[in-house]
Amino acid sequence: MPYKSCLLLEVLKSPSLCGQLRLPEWDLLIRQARIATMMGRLHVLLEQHNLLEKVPGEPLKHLRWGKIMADRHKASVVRELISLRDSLAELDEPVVVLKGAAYSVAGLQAGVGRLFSDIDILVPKTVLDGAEELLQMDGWYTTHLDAYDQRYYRQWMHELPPMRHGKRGTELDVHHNILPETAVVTPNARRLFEGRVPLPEVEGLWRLGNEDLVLHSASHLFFDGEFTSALRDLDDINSLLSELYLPTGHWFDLISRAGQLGLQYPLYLALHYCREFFGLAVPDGVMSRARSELPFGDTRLRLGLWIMRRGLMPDHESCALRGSGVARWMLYVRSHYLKMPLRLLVPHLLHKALAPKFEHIFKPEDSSPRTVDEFLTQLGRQKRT
Amino acid sequence: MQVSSNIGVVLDGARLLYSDREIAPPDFVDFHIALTRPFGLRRWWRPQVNFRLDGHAPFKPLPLAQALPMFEWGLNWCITSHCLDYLIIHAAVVEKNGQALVMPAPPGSGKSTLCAALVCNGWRLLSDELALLKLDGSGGVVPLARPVCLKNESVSLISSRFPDARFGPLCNDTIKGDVAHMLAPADSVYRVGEAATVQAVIFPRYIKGAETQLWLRSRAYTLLELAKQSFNFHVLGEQAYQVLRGVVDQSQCYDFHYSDLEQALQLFDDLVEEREPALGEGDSHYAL
Repeated sequence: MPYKSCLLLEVLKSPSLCGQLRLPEWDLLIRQARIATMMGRLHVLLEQHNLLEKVPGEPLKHLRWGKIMADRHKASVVRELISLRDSLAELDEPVVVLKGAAYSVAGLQAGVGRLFSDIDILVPKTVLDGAEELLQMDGWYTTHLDAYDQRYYRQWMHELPPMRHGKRGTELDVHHNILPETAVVTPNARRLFEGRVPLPEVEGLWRLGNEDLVLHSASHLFFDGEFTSALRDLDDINSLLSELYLPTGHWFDLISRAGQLGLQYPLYLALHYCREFFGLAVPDGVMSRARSELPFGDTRLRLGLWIMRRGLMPDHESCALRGSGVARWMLYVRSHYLKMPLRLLVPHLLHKALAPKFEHIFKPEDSSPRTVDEFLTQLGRQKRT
Repeated sequence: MQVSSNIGVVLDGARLLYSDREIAPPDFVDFHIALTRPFGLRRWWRPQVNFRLDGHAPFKPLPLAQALPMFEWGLNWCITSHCLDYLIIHAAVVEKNGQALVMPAPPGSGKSTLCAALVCNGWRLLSDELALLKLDGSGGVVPLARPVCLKNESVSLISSRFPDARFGPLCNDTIKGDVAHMLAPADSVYRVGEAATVQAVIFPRYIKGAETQLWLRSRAYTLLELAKQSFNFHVLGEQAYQVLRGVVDQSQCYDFHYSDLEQALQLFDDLVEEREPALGEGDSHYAL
């Protein structure tokens, strides 16, 4: 096995391994889990397998800290979602919660012990402006104040510029689709809303239907991002598939939905790696059917798999494979060209590279307050002087 | 903690600043950190230093001259952003006769100077930056006994008043001005396993030319300020609130203004030796 060195992956696959680890191996496992942002997740996994008492005190402490942090995130996310629901009630349109927050509030295993860096929601594009206005009235403000960035998001992306709450500091991404308008494939957002399912824990909010939940997770991992917490994201998908598809065996629903939305490739990659990394029992028939949906040959697929495998490993020196550096760089470049065609990408990257160098000539420093706390601090300073 | 570095100042500095510490067995290390000079242009042209935890840099690089302060700040960051066994407050903690004083204060308030002077004057150092409050409801505070970070004039003030104090190298022109670290007294380091109980929370403030003055501060405002100065109150939530409530209930809470270090030292000794220090009227709206 080429990735034998990634202890975290071995443990995720067979947790009972933890009973045999010696202290130096725990040292390595904790470091890999921290980099992969999976400390809380690992704690949950060991707890579920009744293995916590076998963990020595020193590493257990780190796992416990990860769990406390994850529990706090879960509590905050429920509160934030309730307040978002109330802020957006006036829209009278469905608000769909995406990614980690949705798993967590939907009571899915994938959400247990997970950390979130932000909250993601999906609203119909027709009410995007209205949603932004309502959120602003309730204390959310837009980040990326630069005029170029604002235009970039609003014209090309599948979301508003990220918002932040002025008092609580929570970050919020308001999407109108799951991939950018300019990407190689853009699913039809209307179909996503049609399959939605109510969230039990926060009445009035929705999550994506089972198929779309998996497909969004896969397209986010393989099409949208830089691979910063890729193994965590793959573990999410593995968790979703184990919970929603293993017991029912409705794999072909997944494949036909991927066909409708144009997301066959990310689905294939997700199934492939969940099988390879976590030993997920995806039937052979399902794999060959998913493969037959791809419009390209074996050579290109093999290259893709070679690159992605390296991107999925935690970004820790102990998990590096031959070619990891090059592969990560290629993934980074790829994440850009997937987002937009070259005629848009090249001017965008030029602007990003050059604008900061000339900024000071055109723009005086902006000291206007962006949060309530900043405003109060500035007010206090003015009073004293 | 395991440190690797290709910078002599960091390795020598770490050996000197932590010379009284035991060397831990290397089997399990909480944080593997590295302070390194980057390769390429920045190695020679305006050389820089990077702080990394397991290969990831939480901060932007700093000029090479600030490598040692960056090591200390990085250690603080490791503790405050990971450790959830304690409620961590940005405050100095010193102890005498089993009585611990917690001194929260913003930078520039003379907290570290006062803390350094106290520990050179027979007080035990628990920490000059981070108060680790126990979560078990005991009102206990756990020592770190790490070096005291002194800035600008404080360095010469402390080293001339207390010639026995041991210092690390002086680093010029950091974002905080000139910085030097005073070693924790050996006795404080040996007793690092010994927790203390918080008896008082004091908000010190150095004001040039001010009269030495101590007055009672309301417990409610003390709790609010401690919460504000905390690194992980938001993570620990209600548990953190209960800890602070316990701490302010069992403590005397004061505001303290000073300019004369000798008078300040005398007043703090009076405080623990149960000679009632004269209480001022106070001019703050936080007063009791």
